[in-house]
Order: sequence, then structure tokens, then C-alpha cells
Amino acid sequence: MTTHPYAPQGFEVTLSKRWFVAKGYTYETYVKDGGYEGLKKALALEPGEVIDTVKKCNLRGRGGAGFPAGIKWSFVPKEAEKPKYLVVNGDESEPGTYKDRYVLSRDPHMVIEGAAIAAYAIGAHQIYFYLRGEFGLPRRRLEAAVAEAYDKGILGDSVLGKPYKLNAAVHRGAGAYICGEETALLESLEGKIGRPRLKPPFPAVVGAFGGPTIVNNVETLSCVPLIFTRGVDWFLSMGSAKNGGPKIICLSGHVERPGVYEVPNGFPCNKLIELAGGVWKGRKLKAVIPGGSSTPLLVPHACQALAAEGAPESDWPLETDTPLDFDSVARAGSMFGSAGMIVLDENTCMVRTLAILGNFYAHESCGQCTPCREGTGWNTKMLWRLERGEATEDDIDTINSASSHMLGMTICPLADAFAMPVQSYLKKFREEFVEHVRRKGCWFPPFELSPHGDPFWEDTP
Amino acid sequence: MVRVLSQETIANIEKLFPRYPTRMAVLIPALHLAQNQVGHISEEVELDIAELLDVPPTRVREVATFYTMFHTKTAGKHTVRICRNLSCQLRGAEQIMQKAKEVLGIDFGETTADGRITLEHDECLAACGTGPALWCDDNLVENLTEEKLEKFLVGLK
Repeated sequence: MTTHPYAPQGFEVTLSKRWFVAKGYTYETYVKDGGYEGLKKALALEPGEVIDTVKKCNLRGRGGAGFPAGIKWSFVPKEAEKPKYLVVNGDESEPGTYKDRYVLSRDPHMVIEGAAIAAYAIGAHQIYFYLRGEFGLPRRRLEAAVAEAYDKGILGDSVLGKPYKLNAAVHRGAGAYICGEETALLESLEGKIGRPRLKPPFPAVVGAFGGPTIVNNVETLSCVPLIFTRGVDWFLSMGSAKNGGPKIICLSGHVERPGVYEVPNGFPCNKLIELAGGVWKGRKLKAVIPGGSSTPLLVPHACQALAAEGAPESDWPLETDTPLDFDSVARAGSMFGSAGMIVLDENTCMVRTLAILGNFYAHESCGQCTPCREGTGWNTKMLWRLERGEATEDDIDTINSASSHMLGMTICPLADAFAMPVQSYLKKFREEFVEHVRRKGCWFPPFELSPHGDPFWEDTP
Repeated sequence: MVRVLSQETIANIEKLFPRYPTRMAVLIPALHLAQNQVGHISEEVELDIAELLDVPPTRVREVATFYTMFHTKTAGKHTVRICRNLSCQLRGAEQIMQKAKEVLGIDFGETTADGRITLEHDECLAACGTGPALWCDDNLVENLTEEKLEKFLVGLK
């Protein structure tokens, strides 16, 4: 049993196991630890059987949308005129999310193995790892691991002795959040600006270079070898039938011990915050952003949707007690997204918080759709005006109405990704927004300079 | 006719051709390699790359200006990008940004007079658990305090 300081006591970690081992990123360590056994088992099956196995696990995409990977794979046509591709989405850039960084820099062979299984399942002979441009150490480690994999007969003209040509290349992005959206990523891979494509056709049919393509998140693929070594039942035993498997969750903001925690799916949010030492400095919890900056807030208020049917109000759990899996967090009114959890203490100004997020979305809008290009920018300007005390109460309604005209109006969900938090913050903290008008500005203290702190999570070459 | 790219850079770009079914797919990697050599993406660099990849120069310009990591004007020897997104801000990034301006004597978007450092904002480096953070020369500097920042900036030669 391997546990570590960033997992519940007694829980056997599998995804983050080698992060805590010296040179855990090398082929040698990985293979000693049973690495590439999952690939061996998968290669003994027919591709269709591999897809069925992953379908049975209901492995839901860890990049944000939570779409079942096995079903996604099954959309790839068996026969295709153009080559098929497996693309690994390592563009991790949803604020609050920093898990794939460690998968890539501390255990790159696990994602290579998962990608090889996925490529075999869909009949792809080329893998592209698309990594965000700012990933220095993760990219260098992955490149070294890919070279090792060629050396050891995992990539090349055959895979572990089975005649199946499989090549892999690491592709570096250049600083654009939008390229985490899978069709923008494909545009970028093809050498274009990252503008999302209209769907359909979906990438599984027309993807990279016109060929059928599956785009999977780094963590999603890291789960795949485990399915073949430990089995479907093991995977399903963690969490519920629709939300199985181990999960890594990124904690940042106002907790005592930030870091990436590995837990079973459905681990309660309040228990995770406790595990992280609680809200820092003994302060009260104001709100939690559960799944990356675009997800609506959870607040410590009673939530009927999480309660058993007919339970009296006194027995309702709090929103912030929600089990952390896609379906439960959705019931609590938010989204588990990319598991980038940001904890906000009682001294946090919600107007400033939202305005900071606005800067980001306004900067990262690709500019293709008007509601997004204009909406993110204007809303952000109004929010800063409110924070500075230059806004009227009418402006709050304008922000609300502008955001409602962004929802569902664009090619990709970037506009929603800002409109959803805007509506959520306004709904849950409207009084605080109005008070900024009345008091002609912000009365909350500035954010204190106090680094997250643990050098364990720093990039160490 | 090659204008500014070195034989080495061109060789490194050409080495990437077999990885992709099209030459255009090499555009972003080529811009990285060119920027490593020249320091920024000048018009001459754009024209060299356009010819090498057999794509229109406008395509190269479009891509070079879309992605924030490419400099289209002269930049300092080092670019320091300080994250100003939420997780870093909750841990005091604003103070780190002020300190950086003070130590370097420039504002964001500017370059020091000696051409040593260009100072930029960054919108999330995926280093949220170790913020405040900055990224420079392909490496992160994390858990920044004012002292750690100053030491780092002064140490950049």
C-alpha cells in the first residue's frame, strides 16, 4: 500500500505514486513498478475489445468535459481513407489546474503507455503530444521518455514485439489558453492560429490533417494502463458506476497545504479541504471554485439537491460538502471540470476575484465570435470599474445581462467559461457587488503576499 | 534566398518535416527555433520561414502575432513573465508585480535600457500550487517572495 502526504490515510495511490519516488520519471523505475504491463495486456486483445473494456469503466475525460473516453474512441470509423491520429492534450491552462504538469514531468511513461493503448484501440499509427508552450520541465522529461520508449521497442516499427507501427512526437504550443479546446488544438497543431472549429464534423471523424482523430487529456490517458493491469472492477470500485477511478485534484488559494491530492472519485469536498489542513490562518471558508476558474462557485450553504429525498432542511449537506465527481458537483450547481479547486477565505473580495478572471478570459478570447470577443472585454472593464468604486447599480444589471447574451452563443465554450462564473458570483454575492457601489469601492484588504510554499511541488530538474 | 536564419536553425527546422504530413504543421515549432536564434520574429524571419515551409508570409505573420510567446518586436535577452491569475493573486502576486517594476525600473511590456530583461504579465502558468510564480528562459521560478524575486532578477545576466 502506497500512500503519501497528499492522499487520504490508507488510500492506495496509483496515478501519483511515482511522483514521490526518486527518478520516478525514468523508464527503469516505471518498468520495475509494473509499467507497460497494461500495454502488453491490451495488445493481446482485439482493438474493439480494448475499447469495450474502457467503455465498461466509464472512464470520463479528465480535461474538463467529462465525456466517457471509451465512447469517444468508438466514434472513430474502422476504415478511413486518411491516417488516424491520437492527440494528447497537454495544453493545461485552465486557471487553478496544474495536475498534468506533474503527470508529464514526474511520470511521463504512464501517459505514453496510455496513449499507446489508445492509439492501438482506434487504429492510429501516429501520436502527437501537444504541450503548452510554457511547459519547460514537463516537455523535456516527456521528450526524454519518448526517446527511451523508442529505444526500448515501445514505439517504432513494432510495439513490444507486435508488428504495429507507432510513432510519437512532442509538439510545443506557444501561449494560448484556447488551444486546450480540442478543435483549436488541432488547428494549432496544423500550424494555424487557435480558432475552434464548428462541430460537426467531430474530430473523431475529421480531425488532425483531415483524418479521424481522438484528443484525450493527459490524466485521462494515464488512467488507461491501470484499467488493464488492475481491471474494470477495481476501477469501478472507486466512486460510483458513472464516475469511477482514481482522481487527482489541484488545490490552491487559501488552504494551509496546497498541492495535488489523489483521492477516489466522489471524495467529499469538505474532507479534501480538511486534508489540506483547512482554510488557512484559521479563517472561515467563503467559497470554493471546484473545477477550474470557469466553474460556478460552491458556498457553505445548505443544498437540497445533495440531500436524500424528503430529508428535513436541517439534514441538508452544504454545497461545499459535495462529493467530488462530475455528477455530484453538477447537482450542487457547479462543474467538476478540470479539478482545479481554488479555495477562497472570508477576506476575499468577490468583485476583484471575478475581475481578475475577466482579465484572463478577455486576453484569451480568440476573437472569432462577437459575443465572446466583446463580452469578455466589456464585462471585465465594468467589473474593474465596480472594484474602483466608479460604477452604478445599473452596471451590475448590465454585467448580468451581457453575460446572459454570451451563454451558448459562440462556437466554443470560452464565452460560457466566463459568463458562468459571472452569473454565479452575482447570484451568490449580489449584496457584495451592490455594496461596492454604495461604499464607492472595495473595502476588503489586499491579497497578502504569502507563497503557497511547499518546495515539493516546484519543478526540480 | 535566406535572409537571417542560420544554417543550424534551418537544419533544425527541416529535421521536423518528417514528423508531420504537412510542412505548415512545422510553423509553430519553426517560429520557436527562429526566435531562439534571432530573439524576435522580424519581417525577415517571417519571410525566411514562409519560403522554407512554402506558406504565404501573411500566414506566418498571423500565427506569430496570435500566440503570446512570440515577440514581434525586439525583446530583451530574457523575458520574465509573471503570472497575474487568480491562484497567484490570492497569494500576493500583485505585490510581486510591483516589486518587479521597482527592481527593474520599467513597466510591464517594457525592456530594460541595457536590453537585459523584458517584463511581461502571464495569464496562468499552470503553477497554481506554487504561486506567486514567474516563467523565464523555459523554467519556472516558484513560491516567490520579494527577496527571492529580487535575487532572481539581479542574477539574470
